[in-house]
Amino acid sequence: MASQLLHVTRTLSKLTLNTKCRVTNTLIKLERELPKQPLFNHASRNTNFFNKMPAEDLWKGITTVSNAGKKRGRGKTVSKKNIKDLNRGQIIGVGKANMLWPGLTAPVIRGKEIVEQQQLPEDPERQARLNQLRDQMGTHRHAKLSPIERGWSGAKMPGRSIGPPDPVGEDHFDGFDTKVLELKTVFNMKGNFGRKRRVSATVITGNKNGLVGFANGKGVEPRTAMRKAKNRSAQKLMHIKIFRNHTVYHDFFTQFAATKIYVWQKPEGYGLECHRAIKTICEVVGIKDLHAKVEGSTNVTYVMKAFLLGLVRQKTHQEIAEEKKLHLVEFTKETGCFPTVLASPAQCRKEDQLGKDEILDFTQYCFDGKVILKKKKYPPFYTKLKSYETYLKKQEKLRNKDKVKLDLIAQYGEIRSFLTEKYPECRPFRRAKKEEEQEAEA
Amino acid sequence: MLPPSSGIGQFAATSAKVIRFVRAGCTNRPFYHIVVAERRREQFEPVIEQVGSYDPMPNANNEKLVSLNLERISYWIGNGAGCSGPVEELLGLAGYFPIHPRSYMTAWRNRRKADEEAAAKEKADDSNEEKSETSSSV
Amino acid sequence: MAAFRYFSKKLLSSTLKTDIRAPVSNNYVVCVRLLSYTPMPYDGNPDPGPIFIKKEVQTLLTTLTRVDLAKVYRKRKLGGRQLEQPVYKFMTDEQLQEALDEAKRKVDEILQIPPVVAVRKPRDKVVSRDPALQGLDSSNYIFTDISYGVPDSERIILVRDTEGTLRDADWATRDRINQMYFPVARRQVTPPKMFEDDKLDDLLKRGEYNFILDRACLQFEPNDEFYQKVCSVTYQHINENNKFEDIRSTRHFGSFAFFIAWHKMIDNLLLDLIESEHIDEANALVELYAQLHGEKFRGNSIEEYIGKFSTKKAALELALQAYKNAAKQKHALEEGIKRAHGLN
Repeated sequence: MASQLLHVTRTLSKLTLNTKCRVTNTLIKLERELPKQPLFNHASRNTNFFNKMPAEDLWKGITTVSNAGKKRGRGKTVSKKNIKDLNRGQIIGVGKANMLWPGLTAPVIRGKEIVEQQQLPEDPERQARLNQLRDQMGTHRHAKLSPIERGWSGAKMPGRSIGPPDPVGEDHFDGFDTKVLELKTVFNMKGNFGRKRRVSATVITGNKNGLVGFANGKGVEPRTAMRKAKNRSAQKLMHIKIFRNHTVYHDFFTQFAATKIYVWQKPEGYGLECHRAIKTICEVVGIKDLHAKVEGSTNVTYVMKAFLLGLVRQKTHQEIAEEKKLHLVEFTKETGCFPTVLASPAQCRKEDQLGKDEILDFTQYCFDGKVILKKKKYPPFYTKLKSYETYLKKQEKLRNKDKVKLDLIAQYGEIRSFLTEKYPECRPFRRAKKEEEQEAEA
Repeated sequence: MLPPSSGIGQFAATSAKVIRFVRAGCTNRPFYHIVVAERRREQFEPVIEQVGSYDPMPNANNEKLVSLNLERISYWIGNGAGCSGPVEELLGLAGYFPIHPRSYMTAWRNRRKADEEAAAKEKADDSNEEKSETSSSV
Repeated sequence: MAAFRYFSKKLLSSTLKTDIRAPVSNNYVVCVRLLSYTPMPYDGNPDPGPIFIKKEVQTLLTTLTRVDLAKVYRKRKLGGRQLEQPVYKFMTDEQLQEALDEAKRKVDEILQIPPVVAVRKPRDKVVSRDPALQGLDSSNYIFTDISYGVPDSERIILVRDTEGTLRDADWATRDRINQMYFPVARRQVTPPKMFEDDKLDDLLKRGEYNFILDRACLQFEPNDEFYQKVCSVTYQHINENNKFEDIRSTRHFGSFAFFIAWHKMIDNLLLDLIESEHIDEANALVELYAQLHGEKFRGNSIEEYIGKFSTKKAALELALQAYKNAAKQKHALEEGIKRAHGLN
């Protein structure tokens, strides 16, 4: 504005050349003195938020949320992953221009010579090194576990193996393995201290050949809790009978509090089809084939207790035969249903000595007369849809496709037929492997 | 769910029956069921009974496979069922019916065509030879 | 078959004349290998069928099979199927005995010997000739009568060939068509590759006799020439390597014993039986030999056989003598024990 006014007065003075006017002269003088700046300016200050606060507070402000703020749900997006200390790896005096500053980055006197300030050749790897350091920050990763070592869920402890119990004196627990079943935080109220946080671990240890023990241990650290539990479990071993070294002796029902478990004996190669806790226990005990169904509460501790109770209460075939005073005979398909006597009593009953309502069915006897309620399976809803009928019609011509494919591969070594010679273009599309593609290009 | 291709066995007592083909293959791959159906029904409606099959594509041994339940075919023909032309031809070749005149005609036409082609080829060869002879003599 | 024999004879004569190590083509190598076992189907006279089903012969074959329940009801592979849960039963003494008896009764069914019959005659009946149909089609038609309740062997299977002739289908075609329209479980339309020369040889080397014979029984009809070839090669391999224990107590031992008796090569088995002190079975074997070849032995049949027909006279006589000595010693020992107990 001021400059515009000056401009106006200057033109005015030009117009009146002959007149001597002091005002204009003074104005011109003023113009010389005034810096060429706008007349009006916004208010500014040289101190700001960043140079007023110490670095520590600033970092805290970004990386943490006050307790009150947390309660209101703030700072949810603040994650340690995104926080990077850019000062790390940076040293005063060392920068992009690789200067040698005597007294800062180098000694002032080296030998008898005075070191001079000097420009060194640029280090091209400096920025890369810094970036690498920054990339590593905030992304702390757990060591990757192999699928065999992995527990039930990710890198969590339950289901994972923690090795054999520590030796006591000269007794070593060779062949033993311990698995964690439960690892949870528990709190305890102290009179003067308030809530005290500890970790509780339930583990099971066994030698995969019938010896098994379980225990619970608590500690401030998960590791101590697990160690305590592991060593305690080794002191409480019990023996479990395993049939033909792979499965349970017979089907059984077992219950602990509200946890009910039905267990079925299964043939070799069936695997463990049951609750994950039961599977882990079986792995430690040495049972390889079994089917179990948990009804009611699936609290891991209770499932474990119920299952171990059932295992311990198993009867051997000899005991069953003695109890029933009848032969126990096995019929298997792979031996052509030949009657194999598993156990015989010392004194066998006659036919007329059998009770009228006696349970003679072996499965019924094992479940103690209990009959498992099996719900009727209804066909899925989509079978009533019109589109399903269309689907079936379309699928009908494909019903033997996979078998035919297999036959062709067995006969010719690939999917082709006797017509392929006549119609070489009619062969299934096969994507070339990367190596082949590269070869073809070359 | 789907009606079985072997037939549903339901039919009106007085309706006209016919033994005919039903195409059961996929695209570019014909295959036929030989069925007994009511004449007024469409091709892909449920049939009364399946009495055979016919695969018109030669297999690896250059054979066309035909299966016929002659017992049931006799029964249905005895009950007044008719046969479609192609089925009559097939039954003729099988020795169950006398050979269908159309089979003879097709065979004769094919033979004539082959003869004509052979003659034309011979002629072409001869002319080629003559040409080559003349060219060689030149 | 005849062609094969002719070829092998030619080859033999040529190899006798020339050095066998002379560079030979691939085909040659196969034939030289096959020379060790000539396939011997029952194609000549007399027909072995009527002799095989004679009651006396069947009894002898059953005796030779030597039923061992543990081996008859041995654990078998279920062919990739998952094992099933066994059935457990409570049983009284009587019920258990009944079940065991039932199992023993079933042994005859399990050990039923595959029939030994002559090779089937080729089928070449012409139903009609109609040259006017020439040129109708470039491929043959095969007509199969699929009426219910007709056995495979009697099913009408006709071929209308490109010349217009309607004739009976040959055996190979019949087998193929029967399997296509009336499949036998686990039988294949084309014979599996295991019966090819090199693969069969490998199996024989590995001693998988039961596998070969079971699969052959499943895949082929007993009067099939190829079946008899495969079986004869296997039997010869067993006989030469003295692997009788592998097929004993299986359904194949009867056929095997019949085969070696028919082709007069029972010496190995006889020696094995005498050495293992199964003198009853040795007698049965010699008796079987006599039945098949119309001989009659008076007195000690084994000794007579060794004297008259055996090709391993020395070994057999030695074994028999050893057996006799052992029997005598055993008898003396028993007598001594009896005397010591004051029973005599």
